[in-house]
Amino acid sequence: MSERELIERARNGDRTAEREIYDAHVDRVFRLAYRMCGRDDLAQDFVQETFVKAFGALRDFRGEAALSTWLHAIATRVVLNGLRSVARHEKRAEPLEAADRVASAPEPPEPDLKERLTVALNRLKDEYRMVVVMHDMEGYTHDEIGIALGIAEGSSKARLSRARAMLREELAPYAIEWMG
Amino acid sequence: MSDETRTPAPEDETPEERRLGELVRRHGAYYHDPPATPREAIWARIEAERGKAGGVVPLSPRTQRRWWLGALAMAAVLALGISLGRVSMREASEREGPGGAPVATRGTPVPREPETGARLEPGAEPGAESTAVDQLAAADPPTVAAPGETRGEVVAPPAAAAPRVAAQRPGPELPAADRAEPASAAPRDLYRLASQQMLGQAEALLAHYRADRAAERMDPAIGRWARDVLTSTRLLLDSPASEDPEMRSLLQDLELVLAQIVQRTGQADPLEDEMIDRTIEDRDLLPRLRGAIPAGVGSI
Repeated sequence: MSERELIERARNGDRTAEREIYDAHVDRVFRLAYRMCGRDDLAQDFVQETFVKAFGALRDFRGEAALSTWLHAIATRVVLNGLRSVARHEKRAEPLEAADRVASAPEPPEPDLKERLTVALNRLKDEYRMVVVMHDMEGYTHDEIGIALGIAEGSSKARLSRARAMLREELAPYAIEWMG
Repeated sequence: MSDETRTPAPEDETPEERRLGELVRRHGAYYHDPPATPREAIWARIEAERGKAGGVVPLSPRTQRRWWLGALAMAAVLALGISLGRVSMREASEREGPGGAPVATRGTPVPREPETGARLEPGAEPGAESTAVDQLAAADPPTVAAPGETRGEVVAPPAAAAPRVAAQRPGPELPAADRAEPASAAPRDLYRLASQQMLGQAEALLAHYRADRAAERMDPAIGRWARDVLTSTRLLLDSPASEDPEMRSLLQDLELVLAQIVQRTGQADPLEDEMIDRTIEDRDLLPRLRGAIPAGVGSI
């Protein structure tokens, strides 16, 4: 069955068709959500919201882009908005946690490149991190990233370049190691 | 999203950038490496969410009418439940009299279902089973003594649709407390049903609110919806449904956030919204609501 037929059936309330759409796309959406938040519960929240929104808005899908592209556009918005909300919440809790750390946490050992890269990635703004994750880890093209994020393909490249520059700065002490 | 796109090699990358890209790609094996997708769990949540809220798109007038009617129905069920509960309690206390314990006044032993010990009403066939609805209906009759019957007995209404089996422990002379049990079972079931439906509504409302917040818009009908659910929450707080400490705490937290949503002014106020978000998150409301709603139960 073609994607168009599947969409048509789903639009008419066919739950089997909705499930087929879900099965075809959920893995990639979940991977992206998980990569961005690193938490199973949040990733599930994001995926749930993505598909609920998508099924609710399927009537508005005009088929100009592939369904996966359209779904990813919803997913990236859901994830970025969700992360913003989580960040606001964590910011409020931060002062207390920081005080605890000062009082009790021992000095961490010198991190290796792997840990440093994780920290560096986490420090990137979500909009930049999203491009790095999508492009370098999940293999999306700049064209796909551009459509999903609602930016031009060139802007996606520029964001990736800027993100890498920031990573390079963070990883400067390990330059010899990663430059080989 | 084709697989050949997994190897990006834009010509405009510098060698340093390319190396960094490779490093990040390799690091992808460690960075928030996703587990297998919990497909069924997420699908169940999607179905539940859509079943309750009808999706997170702005409510159409038709949908608004639906939840509004649902809220009215729920309030009616609650009011009925509370009335039944109060009548049953009054009857029970009248039966108990000044000494506290009721007196067993049963006249003749009632035939019982051999296996279950369930008491059979006259004319009932052994093996006849009552549905949950029957039992809900059956639990109230103790408040009305049928002619010729001793007050306090569980008597089926004469109507054919009335339950014919009432569960009780075996034995010709029942302890008074046992006889009183069905009297409180109906309101309890009714409260449970009403609680579950109300919690389903509340979860749908909060999910809808959260989705709207994430999308940086707000359904103008949310205040009215919250007011209806708040009314039901307060009714439940005044009912035996809140005797369970966990349920009471959940209802109290829910009452707080619903009151915040009701009081929320129509215009966007980041401070108000932050406070509502904080209440929902700090009190873990959505997970607790989901945990309190049995699978398959949705809002009205």
